[in-house]
Amino acid sequence: MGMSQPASPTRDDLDLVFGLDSVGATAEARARTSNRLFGRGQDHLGLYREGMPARALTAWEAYRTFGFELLREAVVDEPAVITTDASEPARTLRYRRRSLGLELDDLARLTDLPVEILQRAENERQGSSIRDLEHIAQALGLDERLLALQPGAGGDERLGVRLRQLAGVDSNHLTPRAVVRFAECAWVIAAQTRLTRLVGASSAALARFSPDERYGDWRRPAWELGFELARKTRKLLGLSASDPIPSMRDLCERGLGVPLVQVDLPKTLAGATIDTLTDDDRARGIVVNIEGANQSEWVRRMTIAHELGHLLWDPEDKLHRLSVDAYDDIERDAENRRDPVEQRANAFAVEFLAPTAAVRQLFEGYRDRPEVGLRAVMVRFGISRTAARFHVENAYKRALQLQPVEALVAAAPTDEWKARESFGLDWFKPESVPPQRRGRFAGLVVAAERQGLLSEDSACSYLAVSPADYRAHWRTIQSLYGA
Amino acid sequence: MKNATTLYLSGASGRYTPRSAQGLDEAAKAFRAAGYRVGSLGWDDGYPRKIMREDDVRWA
Repeated sequence: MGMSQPASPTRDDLDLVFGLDSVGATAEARARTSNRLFGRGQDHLGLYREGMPARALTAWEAYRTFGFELLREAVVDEPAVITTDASEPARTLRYRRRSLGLELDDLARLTDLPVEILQRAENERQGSSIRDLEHIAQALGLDERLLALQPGAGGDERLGVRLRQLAGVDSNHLTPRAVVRFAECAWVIAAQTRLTRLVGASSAALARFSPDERYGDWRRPAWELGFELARKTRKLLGLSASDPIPSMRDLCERGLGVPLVQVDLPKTLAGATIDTLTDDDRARGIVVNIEGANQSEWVRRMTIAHELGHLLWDPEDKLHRLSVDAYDDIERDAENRRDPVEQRANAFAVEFLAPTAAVRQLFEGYRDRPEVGLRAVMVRFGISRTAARFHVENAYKRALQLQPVEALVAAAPTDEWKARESFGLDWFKPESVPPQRRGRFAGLVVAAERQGLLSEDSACSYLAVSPADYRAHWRTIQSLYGA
Repeated sequence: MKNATTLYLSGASGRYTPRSAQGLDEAAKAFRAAGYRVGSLGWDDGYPRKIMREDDVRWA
């Protein structure tokens, strides 16, 4: 990313741009160790001075985004001009909003910005505050760093098309609110992927998986393949063949390095997978609704496992940049689903969370008290009552009918499961951070800021909080969710 | 300069950069007093503008 680099800046140039306190022989090394702050406005880059309205960037952030030559110009001939085309960033913001099928009023409501601010941002004859522009860009799933620098601002065009397509096909589900939420989730997933790499917290686990194009036929149905892939996944991750998964949240984010974004969506939607791009690299993540049935941690685990089945095993063309699942799709018996892609993901989810052999072994001890056995399966493996019933029945090849006793079984998850799965959400401070930016994402932001790679101003922008809130809580975030 | 009587003023001169909006306004007034129609490009989040945004030009 950024401008083309000169072969090798002289030592004097490096001193000039990064200051005498920075060390190293290369621009990259000097940028990483520099204490200097740069400031960016909509169209300009200069040195940052306390109290300026410009966005403060560390030397590293500025160097990565703009390249050495522009930084040199920012110091020598302050300010340097960032904008390569005067119609930017207005044109990109206008185009992106329209391509997502959003009206100005929708976006104003969903970003809490006045319509006049949005109109100004989309008018190339008017200047805007960089903070407003960044806020809008993040909501539209654009890379705010590239505003005015690159037409399109790193927005994934195909994701935009997919969102528009889904909004058109089923406008009952993908309301403007859902479109903006998914676009922002794509931004979180891209940013989290970059931050993970930046602070050296990447996991190699994801690289062990390659897509499986088998979705079954009359001899080998999709649900059987889902079971097979669930067993294979446990093996690849070094998990036992029969133990419960203590935290799906932890397994995704720490074990696999897959961003898990928890967000408020319309109540009918369960979750989604997003497969997008950042810095020309693939960024894949899972989105989970915190509204509706997912308020039960056990249903949420099933949703996450279902989306993980898509993300790990579906070929890129099946992920479609964004695949959305409704609750009706997930809380259903895998064997009775028609769409083999969803059937396989459903079977994967339940078998991954609760391996059939282990379920049967547990339930065997309760054959004379099936309602107690059903609850025991739910509590042991952390799955919902509906999922447990289908799974036990299938484990006994349907020779057992549990529907008559289902109503006798309490559906609520235990406190232990609630604590494990809701840890990143319910107790998060500061509360001003929106749900979709809490948990591991916040931990990575703080890690990058403490390593001097992100400015405090950038950390606040990433978390959408005030500096006062950030200063009061970064230590807690670091200790609970740090890299 | 746009033409013989109109000029746009940017505070982004490498040598005599104004330190504030007031400094830029003072310069604009001086050119105005000399008979020019003067448009100031204004500021971009604290930096004197080098890129013109037409609707934001302030006429002295």
